[in-house]
Amino acid sequence: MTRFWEGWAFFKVFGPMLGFWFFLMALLCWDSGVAQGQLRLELRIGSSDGTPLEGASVKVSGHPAGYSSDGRGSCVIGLAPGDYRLSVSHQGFAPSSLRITIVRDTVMAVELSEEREMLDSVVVSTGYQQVERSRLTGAYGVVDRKLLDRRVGANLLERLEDVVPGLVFNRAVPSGATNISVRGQSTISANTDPLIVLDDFPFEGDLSAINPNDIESVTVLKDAAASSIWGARAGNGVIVVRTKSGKKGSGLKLGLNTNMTIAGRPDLFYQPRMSSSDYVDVQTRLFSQGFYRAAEQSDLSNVSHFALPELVELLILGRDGKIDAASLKAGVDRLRVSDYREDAQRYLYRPMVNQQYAVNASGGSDAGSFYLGLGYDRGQATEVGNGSQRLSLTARLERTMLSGRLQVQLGLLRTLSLVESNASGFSSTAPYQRLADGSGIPLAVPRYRQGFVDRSMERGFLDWNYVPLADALLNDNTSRSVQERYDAAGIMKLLEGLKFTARYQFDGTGSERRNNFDSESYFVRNMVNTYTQPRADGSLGRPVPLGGILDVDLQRRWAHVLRGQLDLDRSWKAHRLTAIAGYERRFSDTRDQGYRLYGYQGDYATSIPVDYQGQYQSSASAAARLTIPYRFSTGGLADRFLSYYANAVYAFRGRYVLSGSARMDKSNLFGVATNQKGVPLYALGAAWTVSSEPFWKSGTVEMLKLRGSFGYNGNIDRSLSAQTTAIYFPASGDPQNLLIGSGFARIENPPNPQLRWERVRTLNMGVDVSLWGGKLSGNVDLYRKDGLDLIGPTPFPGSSGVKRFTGNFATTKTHGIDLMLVGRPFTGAFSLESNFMFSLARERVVDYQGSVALANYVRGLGSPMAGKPLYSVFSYGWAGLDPANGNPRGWIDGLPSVNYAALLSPSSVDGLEYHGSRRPVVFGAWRNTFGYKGFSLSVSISYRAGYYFRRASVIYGNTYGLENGHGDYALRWIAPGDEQRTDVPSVPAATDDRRDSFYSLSSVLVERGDHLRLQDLNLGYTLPRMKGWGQLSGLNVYFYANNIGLLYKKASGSLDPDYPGGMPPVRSYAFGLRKQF
Amino acid sequence: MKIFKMMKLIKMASLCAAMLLLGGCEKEFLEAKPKKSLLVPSTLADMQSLLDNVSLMNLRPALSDIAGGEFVLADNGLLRVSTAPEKGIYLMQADPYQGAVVADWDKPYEQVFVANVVLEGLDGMQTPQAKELRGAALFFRARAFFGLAQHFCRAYRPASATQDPGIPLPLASDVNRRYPRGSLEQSYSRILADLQEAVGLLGDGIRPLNRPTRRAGLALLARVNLQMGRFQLAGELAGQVLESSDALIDFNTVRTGSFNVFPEILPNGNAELIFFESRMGYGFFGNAVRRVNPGLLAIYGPQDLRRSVLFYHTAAGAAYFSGFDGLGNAEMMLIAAESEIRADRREQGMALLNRLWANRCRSSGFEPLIANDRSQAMAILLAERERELVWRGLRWADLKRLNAEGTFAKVLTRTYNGVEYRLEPGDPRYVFPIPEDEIRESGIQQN
Repeated sequence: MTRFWEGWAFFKVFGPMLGFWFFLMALLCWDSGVAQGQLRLELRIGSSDGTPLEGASVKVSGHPAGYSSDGRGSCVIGLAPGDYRLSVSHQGFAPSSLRITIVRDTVMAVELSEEREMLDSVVVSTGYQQVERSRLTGAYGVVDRKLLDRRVGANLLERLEDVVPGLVFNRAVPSGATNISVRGQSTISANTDPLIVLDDFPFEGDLSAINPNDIESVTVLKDAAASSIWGARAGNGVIVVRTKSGKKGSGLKLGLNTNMTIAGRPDLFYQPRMSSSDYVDVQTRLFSQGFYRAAEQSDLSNVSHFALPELVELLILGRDGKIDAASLKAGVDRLRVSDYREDAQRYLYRPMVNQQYAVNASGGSDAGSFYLGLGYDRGQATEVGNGSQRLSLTARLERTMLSGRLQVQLGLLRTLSLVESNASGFSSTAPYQRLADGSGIPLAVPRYRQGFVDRSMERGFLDWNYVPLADALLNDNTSRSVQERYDAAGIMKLLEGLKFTARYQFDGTGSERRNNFDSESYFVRNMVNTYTQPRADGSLGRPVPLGGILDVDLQRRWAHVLRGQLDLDRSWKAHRLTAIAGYERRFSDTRDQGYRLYGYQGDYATSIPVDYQGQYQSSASAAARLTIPYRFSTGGLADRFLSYYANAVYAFRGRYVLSGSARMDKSNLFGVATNQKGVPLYALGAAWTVSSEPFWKSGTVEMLKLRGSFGYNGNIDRSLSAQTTAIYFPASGDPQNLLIGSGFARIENPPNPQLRWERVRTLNMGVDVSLWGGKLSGNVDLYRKDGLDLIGPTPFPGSSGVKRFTGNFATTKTHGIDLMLVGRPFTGAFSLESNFMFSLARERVVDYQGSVALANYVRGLGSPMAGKPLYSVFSYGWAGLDPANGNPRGWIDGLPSVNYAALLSPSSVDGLEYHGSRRPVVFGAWRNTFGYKGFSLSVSISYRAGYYFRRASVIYGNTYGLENGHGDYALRWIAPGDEQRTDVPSVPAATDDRRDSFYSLSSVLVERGDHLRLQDLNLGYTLPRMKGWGQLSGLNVYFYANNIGLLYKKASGSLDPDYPGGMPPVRSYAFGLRKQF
Repeated sequence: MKIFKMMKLIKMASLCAAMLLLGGCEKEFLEAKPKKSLLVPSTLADMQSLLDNVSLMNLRPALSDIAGGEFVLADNGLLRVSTAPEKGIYLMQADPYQGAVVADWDKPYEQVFVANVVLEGLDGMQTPQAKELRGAALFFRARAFFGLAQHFCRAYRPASATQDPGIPLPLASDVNRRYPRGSLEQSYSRILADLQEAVGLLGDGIRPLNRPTRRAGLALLARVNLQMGRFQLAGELAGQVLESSDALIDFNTVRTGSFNVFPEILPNGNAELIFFESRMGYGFFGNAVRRVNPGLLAIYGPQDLRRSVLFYHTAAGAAYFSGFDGLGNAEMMLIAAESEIRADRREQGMALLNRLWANRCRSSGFEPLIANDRSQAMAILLAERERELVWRGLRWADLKRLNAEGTFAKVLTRTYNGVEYRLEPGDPRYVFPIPEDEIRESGIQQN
């Protein structure tokens, strides 16, 4: 592995921090702002369970001004020595009155008991403010530290799986997106990722840069009332992440956590593949039909010299009488029994190992607090040669000044990552391919025919053999990135109950990817050879010079966000009003550049110029005239956002709550008039805590709260435009343009004057309930989500000039339920907590104005059908195999038919079979956590239901099944009667693409996805805190197993319904230690 | 007191707002281009860049090259041809595409779309450069329409053109509009109108061959008129083209023995080309099993250099095409000659043919082509067209127009894996079907 601490890396992490820390220290040492001659009284106001209470109102006798507590529940008052009467009140709590005599600086805890002891005082962060749960009208899901710690791994988002109702990971979707959807997907082609907010600001960097050990809590904002404060970016839900911070007056605390995760090699046999023996048979048949003759003749006539499959070379030798029948048979038989997957599993994969180390320190003086977290992660990927390392540093500092009138917060997050991608990258289509011989010596995999390679080498060309395993050792492809985030906030108390907050954040990423192709690597040897120009005198000209090739890609992104916000919090009589209003400006720029150096010599960092304009005859392919690839590029992206927002919550008697929020977003959409660049969005909500009513007498139901909200969120596809937009390419973007020396432009978007912002309207009704002293509690939300003006692509006729057109085509409607039940039947020495989560999201397309071609429904080409889910599975009805010849059959006019042209273009929807949603309609998890003394065991079972998937099968193409080499080939129909045992069609007499299409889209390959999965298990033991145990006292030891396996699935066969196409994650085991000092 | 507090609050708030707003004017802030390379085509340079997209704008449809019989596949050669349209067209199937998308249909319409965007962008601009660009866009649009008509419509016959279906003719960049097929007469009128306007606007300055000149406009006009059977006009137009330059490459000077015997055409590497075109990239053309039709090779006489210059013959006996593609002087000479011969000016026609022949014949063995009567002259001319204009997408069009004419009708046959495929003159398969997805999405009438 590359040395992580090499040169600049160390400085990159710690260098800029030094200055920052000097500044922090200065602040800490700065005397508190309490005026001279006054004594300092600090009240720490908290609820009976110790939760700090923000916004508690404090009145002091003889002082007309009131005080209120900050986010840590702290309230600092400067007083002359003397006797005072204090009254402390907070919404939802019984007011407290006390007498105190001040003779010196005093710190005093004030505990408020909850009114009727049932209001949930958990503070929920929306990213703009912290609100007690009792005053919320929207739907939120909160994941606390404990729950986050339950899982092990370097990735934060993974830890949200199966813990928040309504949030689902779309596993079967192969895409680079985060693949999380909150309450179903409410867009078609616009950005589908939920907005991630980290410490009050949208996070746009790489999420893998966040160390989960530094995270305090995660809140998922689900409905409009919750997320509309995030406006046009909240259409897919919002995930608010808060990092840890220190607690005031808590003294120094240290924590450490270390663990190791191990997972086995991936199972390359998971997807059924054609056996080597079948492959040999098919290839032999193709050979006998002259399939390879063209390539062979091209080689003989010096046209091109690409390698032929190993078997074909053998068969040629046999045909030409170069080897006798016996050795031909021996050679073929050897291929029949070799299996590439065994070699790959042995040489290209290895067990995955992840190590994680995290330490943190936190603490606080009377006037401030700090948190400092340092983490190091190191992962050895399962592909040999790949790995990653991450060093992260998080710091947070808070300080109260000017008699508590000003609070300053500073934050820092800095992560250095290193990713090595040195895996071989080799994959073979021939299942008999071998990577090494019996004794482990790497074998060559021909890229060109051996005769040509040998002849070339005799003429002085470089070695043209490719030995994948040996070549992989030369790979040196490393990405390093630095992610940094600094934020500063000043919160100024202007008047009683009125604050002004100015918040600024800098967010930057710098990354560098260096792919250094060694001069001995096949890539370089092949390139040098291909361009080599034999001269008349027999000497060789080398337009691509000897030496390595270095590819470098650099990217720098920086974003500034500035936010000004007024916070009002006033209580009078039975009323309480909290409101915020703010303005935010976000500026984000990305610059990237890339280049390639030829003849690169790493030792001296030198390179050799080449002629990019020259035309060179390829020495591997007579017809090809080549230019040397020119890889110098620069580019830039710019995002600008302007937002105005306001939110108000009014509570009467603590039990009637009304809320409203509004937001206006503007951004630099291209090709749109400025007045269309923005969209106003709003939400309204109400809540009623029924159990706080005087008439409520039920002893069983201690808390009952009803909530309702309504509002709009938005989303936009920033790649679209109302005017025609084009992308400009330099002359080097196309070989022909390089010849004429002019750049060119390609139309990116046809004009769409009707383009509008997507809007999502959400109606949410919720109930929060707690029974029997908290033994059973839960909440249920019913919602309806309407996607309006959703942007999606639709096929267009070629004659329009575009094949696909993206516009506001769809309206969708989603009904859903999110349910969370928490049971705590035992809380003594033996404890049990059972969490049950259930989500139902039934989505359907109300209206779709795009293309309605029936065939597109089956192919899933982004044309949803009205009345059906956005992602649905359609197929062609299956009428079994033709008993006479094994042809797949469908239904036409109620009769089995092999008229594939007609079957593929049915005249009405009746010709299609509708199965259901492609995404789970019902999903959730059941988690049970047992505790006995120091032991804890937590087991999570997840379930998904109500959806379908399509599995792959053999596609014959024009190669009798080598096309995709699917293992179903072995099950194919061979002789009459086979139709009783199999649904896999026979090998067709002649290539028939429609027959292949029909079969692969037929209902016989559609399976139900319903399943029950034993997701993970966490077993922990905390050693008791005992004298004499030294450092072992209080140590927490844990074991964690993830991806344990399926307990039940509805579909037969061996495929995991969530991974029908790829490979399911391998079961992993982790072992770790955690300790707090 | 309360009012005072309120005042103070408002003052504070406005102060804060002012502080934040100082960062710059809102409009300017939102004007930043989200991506550096993005542009809304508006300047003349933008328009030029759109037309300079060589890999799109200079494409020509090429399924007809597969259909025309200049090249044949060895038995089982189709195993190496991957897409249905290529296979279906080669085997003369009535349903050749098997539902697949057809680039020969889609790409020309993409060119039309770009041309329309440029034409609309130039609206109202009167500078000389704007006129040039307008001419170029019209040229590209007409060329695309013409290619489509050649493939997806019947050959133009004045008698039936008003009844024969044409092609949709989008004349605006609004992709939401749908156009009916109209008549073939309408299609050709549009092509001629666009080209005539283009000729009036384009100049003849030196420029890379991917950009049309006035000569290119005239040359294409000559080609179109020839297809329409307006031989005299075609001949006049070809004559105008040749007036400014009738340069030909003397094949005696070409060094043979490799694939690339001619210099790179772009920007100006080929003296006899007027406009550069490139074939749609079908796998068929790169297929090593593809051979030059032995029947075609057989019509080159022993002194004919084209046999060795236009084809690269490998040691194994295979022949690969190594010629060039586009509008050229040789084609103009052939058009002019045809016009003369058909107008019974045999001498003039043969003189033109011999000018071309002199550059194609081994100089040591030059003997002029001689025709004793009109039909002999026509036979020589048509054979010469076949020999000279190999793989320019013209053979199929020639077959169509000559079959429709009757006198020179031919039966096209090919044998594959022991099966003979025949195409009689007037067979409906001479008109390629409209792709299924087009019918599905726009509902236009199938052939």
